[in-house]
Amino acid sequence: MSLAKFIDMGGYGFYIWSSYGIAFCVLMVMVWKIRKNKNMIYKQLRMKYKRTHNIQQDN
Amino acid sequence: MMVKFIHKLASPKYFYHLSGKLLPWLMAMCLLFFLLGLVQGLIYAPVDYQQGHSYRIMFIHVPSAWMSLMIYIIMATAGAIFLIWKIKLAAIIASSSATIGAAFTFIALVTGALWGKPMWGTYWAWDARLTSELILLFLYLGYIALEEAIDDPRSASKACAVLVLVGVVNIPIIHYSVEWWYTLHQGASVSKLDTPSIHISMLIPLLLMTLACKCYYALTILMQARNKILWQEQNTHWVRALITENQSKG
Amino acid sequence: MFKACWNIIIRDLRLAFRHPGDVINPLFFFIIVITLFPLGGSPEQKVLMSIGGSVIWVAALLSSLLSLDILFRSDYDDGTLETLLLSEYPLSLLVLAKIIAHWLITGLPLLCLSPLLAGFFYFNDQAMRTLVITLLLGMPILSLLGAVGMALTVSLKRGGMLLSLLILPFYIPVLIFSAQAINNSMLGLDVTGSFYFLAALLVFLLTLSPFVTALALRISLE
Repeated sequence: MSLAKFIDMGGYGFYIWSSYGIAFCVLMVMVWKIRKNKNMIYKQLRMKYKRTHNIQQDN
Repeated sequence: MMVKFIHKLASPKYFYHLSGKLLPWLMAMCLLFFLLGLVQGLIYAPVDYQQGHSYRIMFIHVPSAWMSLMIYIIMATAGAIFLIWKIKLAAIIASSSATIGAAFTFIALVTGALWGKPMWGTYWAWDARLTSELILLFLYLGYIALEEAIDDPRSASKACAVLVLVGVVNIPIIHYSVEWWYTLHQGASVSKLDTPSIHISMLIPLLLMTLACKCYYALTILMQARNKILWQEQNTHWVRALITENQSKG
Repeated sequence: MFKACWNIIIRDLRLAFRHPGDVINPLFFFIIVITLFPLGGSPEQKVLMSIGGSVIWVAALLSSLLSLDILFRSDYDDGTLETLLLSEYPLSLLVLAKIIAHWLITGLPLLCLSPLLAGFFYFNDQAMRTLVITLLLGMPILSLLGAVGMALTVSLKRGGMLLSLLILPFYIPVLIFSAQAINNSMLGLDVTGSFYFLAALLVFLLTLSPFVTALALRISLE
């Protein structure tokens, strides 16, 4: 099977590839957002702990 | 034994460590199933004699539609568990599921429309299944909106649990009435997006993709639950130790 | 116990009569929305006959939704709701009384408008009768479902829009069966099946909704 034929999918290429494309974009964006959220939590907590740590040392 | 295990699992710390060990495996399984399913579905599965190649959209459309319903039922179960036994983990699972469920519902709708165009000639037809799926999306969005609107996380998860239970009781009623409405107007409609008379070579990629979607759901839900646990337990020793330790590493 | 419920119904009705706007405004809204359709579409008799049932029921859903505020909102603001929660009687029963009062205030008056509506949309006698029966069976369903949504959002400052997002999807079965019943009876078809469905839904929600609403109220007010 040639590559062009595979991409064309008997004339339905546009529909098939765009549906798979959109589906995987949505799934990737979800994972990416969760990862970003995790990094944000780590950053915020780190800052918070540093702050409280310093206060404890000052006392 | 079983009860003891469940209690242990419901403790955030234990859950966090166990899920951390599980994550890489789930990730690998998810990727593997997606890869196998795509290769099988897009290359090896034979052409359908009625729908041509366009039926290949089924391999993403049908699993997403299944997932959208399954996730709602899981959310309702988790909501009920939270209301009855006050297990915090159940609330976390329910609320993390909502966005993933909405995402799968959205995918099912979009791929349904993209499948509809070559089959029906239009992107949108008021087909019973597509319409039910659209209403399901509204239910998910309502759930997310309610959760966003309530400030106190505890009462938010309780209110959402009530909403999702009302929803799960109503879904069969809504589905039945949409079906009935559809049969009434059959004249204006076109043939359904039916799964072609299924052959084993088409069934295998379908099952693989379904498994992949399930792994994806498990993966994202664990990741989200871990985030929420970190945030909720930020004043405990173990979270503190975990994060300061990670800092020194990198 | 039933005396307590009776008192709640009487109290709510009295309150409604003191603020006649609460009763009249939803009706007024209902008529305005219905007038918009012939203006926005076409005044042709054939067109109006075919969309009549759907238009009337969409307007009924919206006006019922907008009138849900009087179900718990003012009671929440003045603290009556908390005294209800602390009362010695089962909350679900008191809630049921409030829902019945809401139906008497907002659902029942719609029935009086039905001859007018039938005139607007050139209904025949059979469609008119179907309209009355669907309003009679359907409006209490809307009140019962709306009560759950209202109870969930009562403590939120801007709950109005959210309430419609939560509740409208649950109204869909009522809309489908009522509107289709009216449209079918215009064509002279038998519509008792729709009546049975609406009646079943009514009984089902009558037994379930008060408990869920009571639970939701407890969560909202804790």
